[in-house]
Amino acid sequence: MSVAYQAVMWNRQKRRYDLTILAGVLGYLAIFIAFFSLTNPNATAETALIRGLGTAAFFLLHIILCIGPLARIDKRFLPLLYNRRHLGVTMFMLGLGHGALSILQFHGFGDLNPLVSVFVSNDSYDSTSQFPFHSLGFVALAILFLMAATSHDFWLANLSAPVWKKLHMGVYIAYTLLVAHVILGALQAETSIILSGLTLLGFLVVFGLHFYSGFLERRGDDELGNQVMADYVEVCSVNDIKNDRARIFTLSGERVAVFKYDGKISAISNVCQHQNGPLGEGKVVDGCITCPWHGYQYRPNDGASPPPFSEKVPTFAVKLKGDRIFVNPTPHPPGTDLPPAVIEQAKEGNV
Amino acid sequence: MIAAARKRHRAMVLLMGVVIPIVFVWGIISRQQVPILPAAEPNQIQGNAMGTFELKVDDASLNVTVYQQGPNLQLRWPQMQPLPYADILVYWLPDGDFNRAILVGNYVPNRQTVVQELADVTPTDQVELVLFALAQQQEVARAPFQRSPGGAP
Repeated sequence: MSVAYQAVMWNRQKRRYDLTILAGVLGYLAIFIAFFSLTNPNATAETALIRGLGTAAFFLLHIILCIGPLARIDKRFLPLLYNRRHLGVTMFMLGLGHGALSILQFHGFGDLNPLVSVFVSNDSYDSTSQFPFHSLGFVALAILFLMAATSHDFWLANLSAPVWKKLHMGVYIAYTLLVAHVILGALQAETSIILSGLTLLGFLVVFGLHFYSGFLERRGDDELGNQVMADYVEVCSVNDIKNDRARIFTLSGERVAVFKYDGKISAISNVCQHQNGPLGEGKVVDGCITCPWHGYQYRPNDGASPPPFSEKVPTFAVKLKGDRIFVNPTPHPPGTDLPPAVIEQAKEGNV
Repeated sequence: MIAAARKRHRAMVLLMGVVIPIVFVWGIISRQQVPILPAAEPNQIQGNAMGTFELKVDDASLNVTVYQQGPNLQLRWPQMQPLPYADILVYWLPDGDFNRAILVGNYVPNRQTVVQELADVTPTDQVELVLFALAQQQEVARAPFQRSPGGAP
């Protein structure tokens, strides 16, 4: 959570994360350039660097795209999600280096403005083998620039989470353009089956993980066809929820997180106000529901962040009948204080 | 609101899942082999010199000799000197038409004598040799074939 903006709110984990990224990138570049120089002794240093930066950025983009679904499938990947934006900015910087060097080498010495030359020096837009693939990479880089430039929480708060999310969904357009850039560019000359195979494998992993995690989520989104009691919908038993944890239910098309804590039951929107993280996959820490993505916190009874923070999420009225939990699917305005349902010890069982 | 965002997310991923395989298959099927020809060792040169190409690049002069080697031709380059252009490619133009150009290989400066082999071509009087700088997108030099006196037809 933040009440003021800093360039980076450093902590020990972020430093370790960033040092790991830096070491990984430098190690990859060193190995790639050494291998490339050995196998292509006639290639210039600029060519080795252009290809090293390009492949590093492309590889990193695959990792970034896999982190989201992996974290949905297995919570052990959540630490990678925590600082994913730093990975994204690093990937953009690598791509920028690749693009800038390429434009300089291939478009920087003619009469035309190099940026114009990217789009017009080769006008074979109707050809596959000679397609001006530089233009695809340039458009993808422009999208990644917008994402990197707005990655800070300042923009998230000022653009609002839905707009920010829409903008950052552009990563799929950028990825598609970059795959086309690679296939219509490097893979036209480099006919090795290994390179084509790696490109295809990368796409299959990214798409397969998204498809599988989407399948799991969609299964959980099925509306409850349970008993309705005076506008309240039965969701589960008290014993179905672990202490300080939640279960997520889809009511009226939106996800609701039903938490059990301190012998009480409360329900709030499942959507964190920060980056729309799944609050129901978090846990109650020091009396506050804590988002598993970036640690934003909310009180279970009113869905408001503790002072001095100001984030709020909608709350839902809860009732107990025996050990069955009933939730009213009509959301109350964010921050509305609703009394939790109190669990009688005899009904709770041995959870 | 978040349900709409999830639907949009799913639509984007599905669209990506359709577009990328099409681009991949389309790109792989329609790619063309670039005819980079292997360089031979200078001591493999045999046969008679048929003629030369006298390429002039700014103040430098490059005399490329053409030898008949069985059914193939060999281009024998003198010591290749540095030229003020980057990524220079060598093209064989059968009749001066760039649309029918054959890529012989790349021009690598600071090499001793280099021989490049060409298969199934005939050095007619219309043949030209062209140096093209990829970085500058510029033709650097062009020279017609000059048959040696007594050179084989």
